[in-house]
Amino acid sequence: MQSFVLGRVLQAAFIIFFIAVSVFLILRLSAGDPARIRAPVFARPDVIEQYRKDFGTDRPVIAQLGSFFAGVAKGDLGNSFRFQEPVIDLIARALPKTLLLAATALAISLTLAIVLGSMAALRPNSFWGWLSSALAAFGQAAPVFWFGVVLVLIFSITLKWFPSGGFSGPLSLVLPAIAVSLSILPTQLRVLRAAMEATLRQDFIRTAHAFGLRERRIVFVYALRNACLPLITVTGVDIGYLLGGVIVAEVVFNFPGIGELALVALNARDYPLIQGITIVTATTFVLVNLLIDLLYGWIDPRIRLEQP
Amino acid sequence: MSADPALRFEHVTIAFPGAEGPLKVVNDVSFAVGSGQCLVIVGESGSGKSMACQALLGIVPAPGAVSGQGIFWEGRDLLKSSARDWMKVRGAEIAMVFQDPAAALNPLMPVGRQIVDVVRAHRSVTRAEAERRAIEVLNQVGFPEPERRMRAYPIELSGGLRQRVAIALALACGPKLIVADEATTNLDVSIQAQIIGLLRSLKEELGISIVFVTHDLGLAPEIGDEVLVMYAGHAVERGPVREVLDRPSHPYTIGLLNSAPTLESSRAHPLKPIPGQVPALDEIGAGAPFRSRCPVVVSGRCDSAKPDWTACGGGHFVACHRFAQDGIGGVQ
Repeated sequence: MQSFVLGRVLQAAFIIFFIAVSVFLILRLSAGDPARIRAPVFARPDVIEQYRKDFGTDRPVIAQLGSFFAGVAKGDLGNSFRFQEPVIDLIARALPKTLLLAATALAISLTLAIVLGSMAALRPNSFWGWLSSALAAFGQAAPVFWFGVVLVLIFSITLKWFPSGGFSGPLSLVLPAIAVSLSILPTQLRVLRAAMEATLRQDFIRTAHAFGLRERRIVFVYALRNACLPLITVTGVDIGYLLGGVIVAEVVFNFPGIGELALVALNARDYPLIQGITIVTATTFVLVNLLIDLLYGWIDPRIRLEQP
Repeated sequence: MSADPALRFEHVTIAFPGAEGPLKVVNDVSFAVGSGQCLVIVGESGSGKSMACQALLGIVPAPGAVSGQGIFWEGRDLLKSSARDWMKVRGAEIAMVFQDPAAALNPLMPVGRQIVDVVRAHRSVTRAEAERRAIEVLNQVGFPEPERRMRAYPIELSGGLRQRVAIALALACGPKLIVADEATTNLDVSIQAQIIGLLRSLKEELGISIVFVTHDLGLAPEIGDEVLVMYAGHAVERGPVREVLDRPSHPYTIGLLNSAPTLESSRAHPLKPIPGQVPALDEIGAGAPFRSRCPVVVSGRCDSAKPDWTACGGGHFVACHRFAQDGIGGVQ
């Protein structure tokens, strides 16, 4: 088990390193000069050159890469070109809000997938079966930015139940979280429903029935645990979509998280900030998937016991 | 058989919808089990024996429909009881041991907890009391070190131990009847003998009735008091084990005995398999179910009418036109 964890951590470190280098190089190969964007319009060439010196972008790319990784090794992601503030501080302010939004969206989606998917598997021809098919199709068809705008129109402008944007407490989370959850719900719902249908046909479920256990216990304890294994797998993949959906929702809802910060950073060609955000996001993704692998072993003894 | 059998399965038919009308996987089958007795149901795959067991517990999978005069358990007709009443019976009074213990146990739950769950489903006891009961029944079935090994998952146990757990599960609520559906089929021969010995001791020491389902007629004398031979959803022969084995009177039973390997079978006395295949259920129609493979068909009778039970003496009955016409000499 320890060597398994160690192996996965090393693998994760390599992935993050690879992503950091790629982003670093791609940024410098792509169009747009941060100095020109930062400098006043019609600035003299020597002013622009001065900005390049300040930003350090006048040095050879290899030298920039070296000092970037020297900084990362010390936990310093550099200063933002745009905000003239340490990137770490900017991310530290935005990341908790984004994680809160992503976690809320994930919780909504998982709850709906488990409850609706189980009910639909159990009674495919009932209202629940219809609702879960309809919701899965709707979630797949409706893009987050459109659904977000619709939610704002209905629930904040017309009904005035929730704020339309910004972050001013838990109520501000509701609409963006619902909008984001819709982007990952379809796969989760379909996977859980199919897994539950397959599990309910297995012999040990028949045994549980034959021993007079209550249906509720059979479905939500015996079957659900087994049906959750594929759900956990797709959730690992979904974390990527989730982070993507969060960025869109943050822009739509003017939500002060990583996504909004990333948009500003991209427009300003703010290299250090973009690099920092990418590294933090990639680390989150890799860590969550590592957690999911460990969760697997914890839930399924067949996987745990295979590890030498 | 005792005068007042604990279980009476009377003229029960189980039908599944088919393209051309219902397919009767169990066709007008009756049997009875006295308390503390063991009935062995013998038949090959598709004979309807497992389906009959599932009907006993009310777990015939949809869209199967169970009909008939009744399944009487200690005087109550289970076919007419509510779902809730039936749920109280199964697992507690009638318990089942399934064929494949690897598949029949929840793979993600320690085996002890599965027993605890069944105990707590039927008795209002604390978790600690239920755990004590689990240890008690695991001891009873010869499961080693139950206090420690009840925390094991099914995958950590051997096939024989898993089957002992499955039997412990069946014993957990003190049942009066255990239905063992091919409970020894997937086990090594030596383990099979241990499990049969265990079931026999439960019958003899605790007075538990047993319905033992198998495709191996040779196991019948090891545990059974009565035997019922099934073929393609029909009961074809029944009676005390010794009577049926000594004087098999249905051509199918005779075929089963001839095709089983014995110590004497060799090149000089080769096995005689039953020719042909079990017919599809919709091909049987109104005639005798075995006629397509039967060496002693009575022409004009076997393809038009189902044979009635004929007494062969000693509580032994056979459903065969040839036997009814010519007696034991006609079928042998």
